[in-house]
Amino acid sequence: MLTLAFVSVSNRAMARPFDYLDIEAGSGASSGGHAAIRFGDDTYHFLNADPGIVRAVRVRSDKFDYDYRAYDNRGIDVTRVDVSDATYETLRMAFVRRVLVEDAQIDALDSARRDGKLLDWLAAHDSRATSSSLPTDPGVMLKGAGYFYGGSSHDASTTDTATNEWNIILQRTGAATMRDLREDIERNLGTDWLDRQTAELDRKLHGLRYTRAATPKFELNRVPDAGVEFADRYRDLLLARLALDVIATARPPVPGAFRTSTLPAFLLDAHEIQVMRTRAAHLRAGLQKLVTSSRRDRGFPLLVAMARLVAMDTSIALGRLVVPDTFEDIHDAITPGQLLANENAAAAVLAEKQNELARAKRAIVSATPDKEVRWTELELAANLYLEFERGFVSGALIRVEPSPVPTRAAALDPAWPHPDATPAVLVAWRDQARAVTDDIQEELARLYGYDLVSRNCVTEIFATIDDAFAQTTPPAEPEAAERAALGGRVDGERDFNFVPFISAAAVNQTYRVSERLQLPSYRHYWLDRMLRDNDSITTRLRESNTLTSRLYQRGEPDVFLFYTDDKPVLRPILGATNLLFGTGAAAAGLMTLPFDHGRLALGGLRGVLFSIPELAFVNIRKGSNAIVPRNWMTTPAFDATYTTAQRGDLSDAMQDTRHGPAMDDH
Amino acid sequence: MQYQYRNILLTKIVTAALVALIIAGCSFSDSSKSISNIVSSPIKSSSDSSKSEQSYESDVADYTATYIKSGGDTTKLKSGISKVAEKRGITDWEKDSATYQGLGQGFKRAGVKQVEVDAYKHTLTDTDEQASWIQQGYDAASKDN
Repeated sequence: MLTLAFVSVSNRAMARPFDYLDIEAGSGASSGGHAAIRFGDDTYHFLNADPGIVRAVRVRSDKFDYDYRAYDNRGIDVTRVDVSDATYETLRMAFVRRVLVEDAQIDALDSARRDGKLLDWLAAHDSRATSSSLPTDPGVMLKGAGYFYGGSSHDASTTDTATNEWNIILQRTGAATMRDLREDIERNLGTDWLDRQTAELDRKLHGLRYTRAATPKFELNRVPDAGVEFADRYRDLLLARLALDVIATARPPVPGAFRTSTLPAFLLDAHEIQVMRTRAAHLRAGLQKLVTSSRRDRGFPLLVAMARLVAMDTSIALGRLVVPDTFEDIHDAITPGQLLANENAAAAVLAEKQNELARAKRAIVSATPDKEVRWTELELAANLYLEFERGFVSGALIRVEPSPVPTRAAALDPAWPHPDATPAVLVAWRDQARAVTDDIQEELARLYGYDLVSRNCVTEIFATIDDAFAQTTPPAEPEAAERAALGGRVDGERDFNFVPFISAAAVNQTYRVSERLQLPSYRHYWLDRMLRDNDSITTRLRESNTLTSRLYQRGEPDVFLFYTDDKPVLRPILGATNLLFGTGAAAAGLMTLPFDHGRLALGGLRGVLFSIPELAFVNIRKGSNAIVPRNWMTTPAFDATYTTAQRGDLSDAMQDTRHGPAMDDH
Repeated sequence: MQYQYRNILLTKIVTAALVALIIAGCSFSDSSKSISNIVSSPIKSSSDSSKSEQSYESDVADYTATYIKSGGDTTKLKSGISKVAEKRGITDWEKDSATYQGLGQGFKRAGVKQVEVDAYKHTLTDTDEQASWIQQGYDAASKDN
């Protein structure tokens, strides 16, 4: 049962469907289930987020499915609702608006927080406080500066880079690239242009002042007026200043901020090198325009473009692909140990990343050089592949927060230009910024404060649907318009509608539903395929428990024995067994406490907790996965023996990685 | 009622009370901070370059229409575009025609008149080519309507 169509109602007058998604409960972050709404490639849902609010989020539909169905192992019930083109667009834009407005309001909060932190940091450094009392977080991330200025925490992951031959080439090439760029600018804009621009930026940085804005009043559907943005203006001015300084002084790149490898996937042939030359020439010409751009935030794209130019020139010099490191902080990293416990899945992911890099290399050859996104894809594919390869082969930490574009940040240096203000003034400004932060938090809580029953992931979907019609029809008629367009109105706060699966039933009863589908979880998808190949009692018994199942992944945070989501009748008995199993694991965990830092004990306790509902026929736990390939529906990553052909491919990929000349030059 | 779910509903409502006792609510935002982020990648590479171009253009149009309709300060429109572009893997969005065509489409969808579009061209563009891209987007959206 891969996809079940329960009922199909043809309605030729209707044109486009949207989907209401009811996501099964899981033992992770949403034990009550979850809900979302899908418009084609985009899925919208509401998360419980800082600072205690429901936050509207837009996610690519394929990523949403991966996160919930593959990684969390949770099935999704889809209720498909047919509507006219106009209604579809009205609804879609209501969710777009909700995300954009809320994002802008949360940006205002983040901006105010940054103001407070930066002013605190500046005040402490200006008052020459003792180093132990200095605030460590200046609030400002100097994105892109980390490719030319050291001090980032990422350097902890590098190993003896100074002795690497390629790093010497990188620094020499990088400095030469910047000298060429400086000559181009002097030729086109004048020999004193860089000095004049630098002086102007210094004047602005020294003259920057904090002025408290009026207490903001946020509204639904209205982008807030710009806040103070002191820290953001400081960051933008400083990044532009640093970018010009890199050019003016031909500053060499930071060795640990770029990556390459001797793996075959990184080698460039003559044609690829020629493509790289063309792209580098195009980028160099584009930089001439970017330095004179009127964009307030031009410093960041300038630094990114310069880092890429250095990477391209070094790639040409080395004959192998060099890219800027696109990962963010090392603090968001995991040890590869638990992933390697699932060797087949790990190998499949590595092979997948290798294929993605090969595909991105092919795409860059056929793309015109003006398409930045093609280079971004190549850069990202190279980074993802290297991160896994390095983690799986050498055991290095795997960073899990890749950025779509290179954002490596530099730490703020107190010696860099900053506003001319006494410590007392800075402290007074800081206090004002903190007051603004408090005001904004109150506004956000008023509009979006999370409540289990009255404002959660379900209620906000129906509130947004109501709002869609309220915004587009006369004030007295939105409900009538909604009923006419959808077939009825669902009140998210009524009865038990705040519970996701009950809301799905309400949608099914109320709206003009054309189809109901069941999108299976990773486990059910592959179990179904196994049973189609060999539907035997042996297979069913083997896959019923975590000890013998091929689909089970070690590394699961909960300790349990039996899967109960597909056995409603036996659930209390199996749940009781799970309860005993979890209790035993928790007791054993006390013995292993000094060795595993409480991992087994905690897993046992979680196992007990999520076994209790099973005694009353309620299943929450599905058994999440530690690692699953992106193309999880076509790659049988759980078992190398499942598909012979696939096994051959995966083994080859591992061989190539483990025994090839695998030097990750980071 | 289109589908007979009464029996299922009764069972589910009974269990709802039990579920509610242990409900942790909806997903937490940090639940996505995991290995899934690196495996599934922050941007979706597409073998069809025109599709990713269209997605970006559509994002800019959605953003612009929402921003203008909700009374956003147009002098800040550029910083919003920077964020939209960055999510799609683009930093130097000023040289990408899709940016300005998306702006033009967004203006049309927000009901902006041609005379106001001409004013926006002055504040949002540095070159005649960028201004012409805005007009192309605006005209294309006019035809769609």
